Amino acid sequence: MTTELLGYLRPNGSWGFRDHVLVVPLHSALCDVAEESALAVDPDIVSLRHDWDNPAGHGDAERAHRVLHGFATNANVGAVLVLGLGPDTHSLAAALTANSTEHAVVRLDEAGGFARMRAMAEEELRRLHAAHVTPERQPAPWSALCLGLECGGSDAFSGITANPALGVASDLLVEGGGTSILAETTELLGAEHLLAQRAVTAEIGQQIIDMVRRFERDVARHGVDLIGSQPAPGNIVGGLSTIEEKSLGAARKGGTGPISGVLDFAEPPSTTGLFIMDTPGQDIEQMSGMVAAGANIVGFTTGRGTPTGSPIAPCLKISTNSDVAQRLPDLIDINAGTIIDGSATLEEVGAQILEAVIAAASGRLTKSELRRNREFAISRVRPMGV
Amino acid sequence: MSTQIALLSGYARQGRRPGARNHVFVLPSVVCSTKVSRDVADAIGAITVSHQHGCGHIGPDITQARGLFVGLACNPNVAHTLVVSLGCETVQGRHVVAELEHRGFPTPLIGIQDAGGYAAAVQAGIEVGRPLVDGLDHAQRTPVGLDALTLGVTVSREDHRVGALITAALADGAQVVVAVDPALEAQLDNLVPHEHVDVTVGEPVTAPVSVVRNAGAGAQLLAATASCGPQIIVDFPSSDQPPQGFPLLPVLSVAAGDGLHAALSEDFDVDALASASDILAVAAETFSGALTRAEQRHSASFAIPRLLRTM
Repeated sequence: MTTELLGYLRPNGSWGFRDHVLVVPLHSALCDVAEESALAVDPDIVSLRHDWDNPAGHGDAERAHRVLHGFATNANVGAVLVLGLGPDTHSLAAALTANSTEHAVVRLDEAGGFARMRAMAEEELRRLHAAHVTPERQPAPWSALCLGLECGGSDAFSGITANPALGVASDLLVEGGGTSILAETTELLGAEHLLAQRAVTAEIGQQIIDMVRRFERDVARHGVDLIGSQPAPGNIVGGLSTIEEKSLGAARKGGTGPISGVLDFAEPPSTTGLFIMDTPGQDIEQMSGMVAAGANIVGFTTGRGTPTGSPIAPCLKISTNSDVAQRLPDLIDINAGTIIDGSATLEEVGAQILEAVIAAASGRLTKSELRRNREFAISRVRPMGV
Repeated sequence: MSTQIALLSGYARQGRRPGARNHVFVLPSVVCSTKVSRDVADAIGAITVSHQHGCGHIGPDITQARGLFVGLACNPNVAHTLVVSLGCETVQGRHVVAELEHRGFPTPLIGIQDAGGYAAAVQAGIEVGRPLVDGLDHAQRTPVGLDALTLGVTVSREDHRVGALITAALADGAQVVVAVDPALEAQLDNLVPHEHVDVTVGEPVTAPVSVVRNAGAGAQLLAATASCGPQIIVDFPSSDQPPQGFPLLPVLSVAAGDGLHAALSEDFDVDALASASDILAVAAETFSGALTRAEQRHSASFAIPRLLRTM
C-alpha cells in the first residue's frame, strides 16, 4: 500500500474518517426543523431525514433507536444536535455523554412550539458548530477501518468482477487487522452453507444458517413469494435469473477468509475481523444498518449504476462492467469491468479498491459525497407495529 | 345544518374535482431517486417527497406502494406530475407512469440509469418539469360549491367531533374519506357512524363516505388518505404526537386538550374546544387558499404505509 491511512482519534479511543456535525431528529415531524437549522448554519452540516414517528409500543422501536443512536455515536461524527419531542431525548443524550461526543439537545415540549424550537435549534447548532474543533488527522492502524460491503443494482457481471474484487480488498483489510461487514440476508439465500463452513466456530456457523432460516420463515409466514422483489426487475434485465444465482455472487463481497461472528441489524462488531450482519437487501436500509453499527466507510458494487451515498460515511461505487462506468461516469468511483475487458486481474482490482478505500478514508471525497447524496432509512421488520 | 360558507374557490381540473392547491409533483419512485427529485423540484419550484422505499418490497407492499404513488399523482391538488426513477427498482417508475396513463394522466418519466447518470437526470428533469411549472402561472381560482369538496379525515385518537365533522360535511354535499389508526379499529363504528365503503390505498373515492384500509398509522394515514383524492385533510393526532403537515395537501390539525398538545397550542389549526362546524368552516377557508399552520412553517411529513418487512 502506498497511501497512508489518516484518521481522527476520538476521545473514546475509536477512529473516525470524517468529522461531521450531525443533526438527529428523533421524530419524523422534526426532520424539517433539523434540515432548516443545518442549512441556516452551514450547508456542510448533515441532518437526517426519516419517517419514524416513534409510536408507543411499536415492535420495531428498539431497532429504530439502534439506527438513530448508532449514527449519532459513529466515530465519523464529531458533534451532534439531538431534536426530540421530550423525554425521548434522554437515552441518546446519555449515549453521547458516555461516548464523549460533544452534543446539545432541544426538546419540542420545552420549546413550547415549532417556531421557538426552530430558533433554539439554530442557536444551539451555531454554538456547537463554532465550538467544535476538527482534530488533526493522524496515522491510523488498519484496525481503525470498518468497511461495509454492499451491492445494489446487480447484474450478471457482479459475481465475477466487482463482488470478488471487493472480496479481495476485504480479505486484505481483514488480514491487516481491519474489519468488514457482509450483510443483505436476502442475498445470502442459497449461499449460507458455504459461508457457514468459513465460520471460526461451529456455533457461529450455525448462527449463519439460523439467520437465513429465520428470514425464510419470516417471509413464508406472510405467504408471499420473493418473485417480483428478488431478483429485482433491474437484476433480471442485467442477466440474473434466480436469487440463488444472485446470492452466490453477492456473497463473494465477503472474500474467502474466516467469518468471526453474526450481528443483528445495526449491532456493532465486538472485535476486528469479517462479520455477517442480518439486514434486508434494500440498499439504503442495509447501508444505514452497517453505518449504525460503526462502519466508517462503504464499498458498494453496482451493475446498473446508482447515485446513493450515506449521510456520514464515504461510499465508494465500484462498477461491475465497463459499459456502466462509461455511460454513468458521475456515479462510479472505480471500474471493475476491467477484469472482463482483460486489462486487469481480480487481484489487481482488489488491491486498487483497497487503495481507494484508504485514500477515501483519509480524506478524498467520493462522488456521492461531492454530490451530497445522503440517503438514510430505518429498516422495519414489523411495519404494522406487531 | 349547513355552514355559512356556501362557496369555495379552487383550480378547475379536467375529469377530476377542483384542486385546493396547484402543485407540480416530482415523484421519486424509489429512495435512490429522491435526491435527483429534490434537486429538480428545488430548481423549478415544484413539490417533491423524500422517502426510503420503492425497492425491496414484497408481495402486497409492491402493489400498495405503486397504488400510493399513482393515487397521489392523481390528487386534485396536483396539476402535473413528473416521475423520476432509478431504473432497476422494485416499484418501477415506468409501471407508475403506465398506470397513470391508463387512468388518463399522461405523465413524463425521467430514469437516472437511462438518462446517463445524476447530472444528466437532473438536467432532463428540469427541462421537462420547468414548462409544467410555468404553465401554472396563468391558473386562476374559480368559484366552486362545497359539493366539490372531498374531505379527508385521519383519526389517531377518540374524539367525538370526528363523527360530527363527517355528518356536517355530508350535509353540505361533500364526500368524505377516512383513515383510522389500527389501534382504534374496534371503535370504528362509533368514530364513523355512517354507511361507508372500504377502499384501498390509491383508490379514487366515489361514495359519500369511504374508509381506507391498510392505511398504516401516524403520518402514514395522511399519505394513504391523500392517495384516495381529498383536497384537504383534517387530522386528529394522538395526544402524544405532534401536529404534522403533508407535502401536497393542507392538513388541519385538531388539538386534543391534553398531553403534548397542551404544550403546543400555537401549532394547531383548531383547538380542543372548537366544534365540528367550526372545523368545517376553517377547512373551507383553507381550501380556498388560507394557509395551515404546517404550510406556514414549511413542515411536511411523508411516510409510506406498509404491510410487510422489506427484503
